[in-house]
Amino acid sequence: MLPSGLADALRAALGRDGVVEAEAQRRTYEMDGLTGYRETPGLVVLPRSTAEVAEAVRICARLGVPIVPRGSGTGLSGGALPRRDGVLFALSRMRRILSIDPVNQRAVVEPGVTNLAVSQAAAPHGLYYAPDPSSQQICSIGGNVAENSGGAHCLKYGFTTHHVLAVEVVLGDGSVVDLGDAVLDPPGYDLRGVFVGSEGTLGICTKAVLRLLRVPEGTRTLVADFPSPTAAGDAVTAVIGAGIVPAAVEMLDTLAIEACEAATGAGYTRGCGAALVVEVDGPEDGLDAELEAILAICRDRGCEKIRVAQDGAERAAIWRGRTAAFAAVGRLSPDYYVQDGVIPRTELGAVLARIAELAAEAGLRVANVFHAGDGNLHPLVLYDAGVEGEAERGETLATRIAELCVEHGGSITGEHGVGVDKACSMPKMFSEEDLAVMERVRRAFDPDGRCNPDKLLPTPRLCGERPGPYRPHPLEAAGLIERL
Amino acid sequence: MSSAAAAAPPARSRPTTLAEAREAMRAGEGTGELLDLRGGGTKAGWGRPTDPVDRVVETSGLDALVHHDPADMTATVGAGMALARLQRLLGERGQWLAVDPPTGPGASATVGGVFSAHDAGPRRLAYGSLRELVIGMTVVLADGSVARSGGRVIKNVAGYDLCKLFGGSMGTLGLVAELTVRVHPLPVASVTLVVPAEAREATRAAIALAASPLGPTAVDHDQGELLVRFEGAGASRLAERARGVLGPEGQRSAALEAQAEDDRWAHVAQGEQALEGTTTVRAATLPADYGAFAERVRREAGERGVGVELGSHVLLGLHRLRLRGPVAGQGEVIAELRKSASVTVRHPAPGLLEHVDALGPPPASFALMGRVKRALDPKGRCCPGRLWGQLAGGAR
Repeated sequence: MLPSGLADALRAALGRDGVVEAEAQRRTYEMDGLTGYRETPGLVVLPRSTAEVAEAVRICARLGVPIVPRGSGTGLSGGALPRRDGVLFALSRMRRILSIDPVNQRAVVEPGVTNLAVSQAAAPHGLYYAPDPSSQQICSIGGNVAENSGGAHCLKYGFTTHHVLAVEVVLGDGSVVDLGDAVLDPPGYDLRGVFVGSEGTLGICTKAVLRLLRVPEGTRTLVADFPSPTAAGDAVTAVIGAGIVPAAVEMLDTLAIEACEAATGAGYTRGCGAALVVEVDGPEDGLDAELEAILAICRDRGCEKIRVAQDGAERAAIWRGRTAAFAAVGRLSPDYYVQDGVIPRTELGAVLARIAELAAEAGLRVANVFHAGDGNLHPLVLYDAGVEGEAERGETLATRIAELCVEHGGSITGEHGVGVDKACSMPKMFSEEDLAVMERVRRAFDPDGRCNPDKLLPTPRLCGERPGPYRPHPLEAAGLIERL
Repeated sequence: MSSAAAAAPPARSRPTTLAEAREAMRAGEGTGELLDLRGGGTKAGWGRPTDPVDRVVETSGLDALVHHDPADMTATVGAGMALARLQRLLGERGQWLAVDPPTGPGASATVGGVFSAHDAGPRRLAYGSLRELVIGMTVVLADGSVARSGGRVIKNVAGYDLCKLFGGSMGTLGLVAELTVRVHPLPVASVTLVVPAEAREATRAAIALAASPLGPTAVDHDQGELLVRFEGAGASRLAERARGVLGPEGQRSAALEAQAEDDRWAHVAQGEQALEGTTTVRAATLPADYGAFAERVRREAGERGVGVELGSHVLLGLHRLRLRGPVAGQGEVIAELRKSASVTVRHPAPGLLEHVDALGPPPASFALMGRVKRALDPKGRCCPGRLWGQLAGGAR
């Protein structure tokens, strides 16, 4: 299926150890963190430099071969799903931290550097890299740039796009271009802002200039137990309405707590309706006052029990429980889908009630873990692939939940990305006209459609001829009403 | 393509609905009618002037507060809503759009205009620019395509973030019709320390503050003074600690609050406003380079008999210059500074642009920018000439 001469040309450019050809070795790249989608890549290249990436991309362009970039393979939307007729660019060898400028609080890194490694390198200067996806020990900066990754602390500190000042990119024709600048506000369009979160469809990131932040002086972390997720959600709205911007607000429902406790024994209360993890950080002055204000609000909203972490170890245990939630659900069920929908925070009660109804109708269990501060839900749909029909019911339920989020004014994805997983759901959220404009931007970067094809935007190949059920209302088509 | 007869005044459109906006944009697509897209017009002098056009599309009729949910802390507004009016409406609910561009409280600057020009003020340090606070957007392209991007939730990675593309595009990609923004609670308290300091000392002090855990919401150098702002319940305690970081001068610093504080920051904003016969310039360097940059500015200006006032959002690395005197000399100063900083002209003195380009050399990604421009506005109709004319692919 691959053009003849491709492997030879890549080997000549990258060396024998820069190209993975054996079927068994290629198969180790067949999936990313979304294990339901698998495909063995036609070839895998392991470039060591921007020049090697560019040369390999030029070879692929010349022979008309699609390219798929891959960081650490922890993505949860199939964004790094390979193609049998394509070349997978694994960037794991480009893992140098090129410079740290503690005075101007910037770092320059290669794409294969892990998220946590940046913070570790910055730590001696009292600095850190703020975005902290749960996979931060493994996930790469290049992958974070591609997905515009978030994490538990983005309510206060923002997403990857707020912390990436510039990127060096290899476009689909092999040309190398710098987008953005270490100095703010270069004139012209913010192409950096378009590239961040483009999921490998606009090119390959080969270098990034990151903003570093001063490590907060103090941190307070608490767990508050509530009778229901709705009561916990009301408390979150009250806290934020009081002008407090917590560093993180996380919620687990009864089933998620059960899973976390079974896996980590982090000290969550089994059987309670919802556990709220709230963290505030910043200068020591005023932190205790903020904590007191949050405790008062929680008590006022029906909180049954509060535990404030007394030291770093207790805080770490609380977070270990939360971070392990996805994996812990494996103890409750052999298989599960993770959803990533977002809703306006105030819709939380209504949406959770509806999810419970939908789950009951489907005869499946749903555990809920979410970033409650910004309304980013991670419902975990539990199923057993060994039971006839359960996988299909699970997938249908997961898709239905994503659509429910859109119906409530939200989004199909808050941080995992669209990838291959949700591309066919994009028409639920965007009109054909919206998607056509995104396609025009994509073609401006990648006229020949070589970069990560069949990801992010729906295509007939992926979704059938008429993707999705979205049909604009006649009034909407006339521009008289709006749906967003 | 139509030639926009220089003598004839352009036609005007003032859409009040999205449907009218679509019609205003699309009607002249066949003939290649050239369009200027205008909000309050407060930044018409920025950068390169727009070439003569056939039609001006004004956003002032798209000025509704479509939605404001104080609990979710989001608001959707027509792009033509005056920023000052939006702040009043949000303020009634104890909130604000956390941007403070230097347009002055009485100015007609619109939310869409501030966004399209990527204008920002001192508190960008804490809250980010408007481009970072916009979470959803509706635009109308020259061919009448109505496209939405983002949504109404703060966290959202579905599709390309076209909000970033249009923020700062100076109207050259299409008409921004509506924006959904993240809003913030009004700070319950605010205090600003004022410390006498020249540029090098100010830079050292600012860097020390950045290395401290105190988190000032603005750090500015203006008229020989370093201004350090803290907001929130702990503002005065943080200011007290900041005095220690700022050393002996800091211990003697004045602390401004309420009206006196507002007045001082209004004075900072004036440094970037248009003033007859002068040029205002924006320059960018790394934050730590401000002291050296300031000395270079004084040397280059002094050698050419050009008067200069200088200020800076120090920790953002964004500096403001007001130049006076012979425009040829001003042009030379700007050209000289471009050797070590990114320098753009905001409000040029008459005749200046005959001596120096407003934007400077196109960036490395210029070719790609041109491809994006031609993808969204293939006939080059929107705000021709406003950025680099060659973006549209023609000879302009």
